[in-house]
Amino acid sequence: MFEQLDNINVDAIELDGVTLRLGNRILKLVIDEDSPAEAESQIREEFREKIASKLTVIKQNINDKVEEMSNFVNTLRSDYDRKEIELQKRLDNMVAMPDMKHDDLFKGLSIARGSYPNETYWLVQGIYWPKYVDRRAIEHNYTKKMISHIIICVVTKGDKITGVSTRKPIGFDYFQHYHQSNPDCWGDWHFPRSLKGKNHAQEIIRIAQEAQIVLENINTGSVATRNPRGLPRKDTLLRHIMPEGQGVEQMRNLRQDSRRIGVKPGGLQVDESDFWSSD
Amino acid sequence: MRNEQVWDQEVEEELYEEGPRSATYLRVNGMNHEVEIGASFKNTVLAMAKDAGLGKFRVFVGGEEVGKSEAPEVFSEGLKVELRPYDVAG
Repeated sequence: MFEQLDNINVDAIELDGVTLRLGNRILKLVIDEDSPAEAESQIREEFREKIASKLTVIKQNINDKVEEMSNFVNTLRSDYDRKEIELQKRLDNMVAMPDMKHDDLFKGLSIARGSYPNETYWLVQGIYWPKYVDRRAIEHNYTKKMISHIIICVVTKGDKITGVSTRKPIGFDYFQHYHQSNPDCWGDWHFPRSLKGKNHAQEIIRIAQEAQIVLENINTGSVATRNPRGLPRKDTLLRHIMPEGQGVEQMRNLRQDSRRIGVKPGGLQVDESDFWSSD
Repeated sequence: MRNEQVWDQEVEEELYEEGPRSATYLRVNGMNHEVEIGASFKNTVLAMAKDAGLGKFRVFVGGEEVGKSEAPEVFSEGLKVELRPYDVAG
């Protein structure tokens, strides 16, 4: 563009002739021979200077515009690069949400990201309801008083299960019970060490349900807490054991406070169709 | 009909543990209970569990654990079932 402006040749500009209007007559003077007169040279020189100065202004304006556009593009590019880096950082920190369905929610399941990469906290609403001491039934009405709302927390890293614990629904502290030693002392019960199938949510719910079942029996041979907060002392509990051979019958008349939080007579407030139970 | 042969102590114990090979039985709390062929599986299991004082328990058929949804309808000939309590915490 600048080259075109620079190539404007003032000397190549030629007149086609002069036109005079006298009244209603138009007189055209045609060039007879080329003989540059002094006046013409002066006019050309003046013309040349004026054009050159205009060209300089035009070039400067064009330059300014080009610089402005260039700065604008650079700003856009640097914004784009910055946002791309931010987005990449967020993508690197994101973890795909496990395939959890509406039904799982009704079974009490929720999830949260853990503090470590690829760590997930699976939280299952549950109840702590001890019914047996050393596999001997506790008096029916006495056990009803011990029903407590808890959260069973299953921690996974990838598809590995790293821990199962019982927690209070508010505050998430460890739930105090006879086998709680922060975390829970599971004894002979070994939760699976990895998730095997495709439906991780269901597997987790099943593990939580099994944990609740294990805690239905109090093993006096290995009590971690003899006097857990809110529960009878172990010695008091032993005075409410039913005679040997008598089982725990399914309790139809639960207390109001238990029914209010969703406890069903069988104990587990989730679908327990696959668990064998006579209580 | 009882066999009047005098059994070697070891063989007698082995039979007590595993039960006769052809019999259909349900084992709970270390004891084998013969079950009638054709009896309802679920009802029999639940009744036995209640009598044994088991609240929630696990059911093994031929050594493999089965859930309620996988259980057979009736006891067939030679079926060996065991009821086990859940593991204890502590």
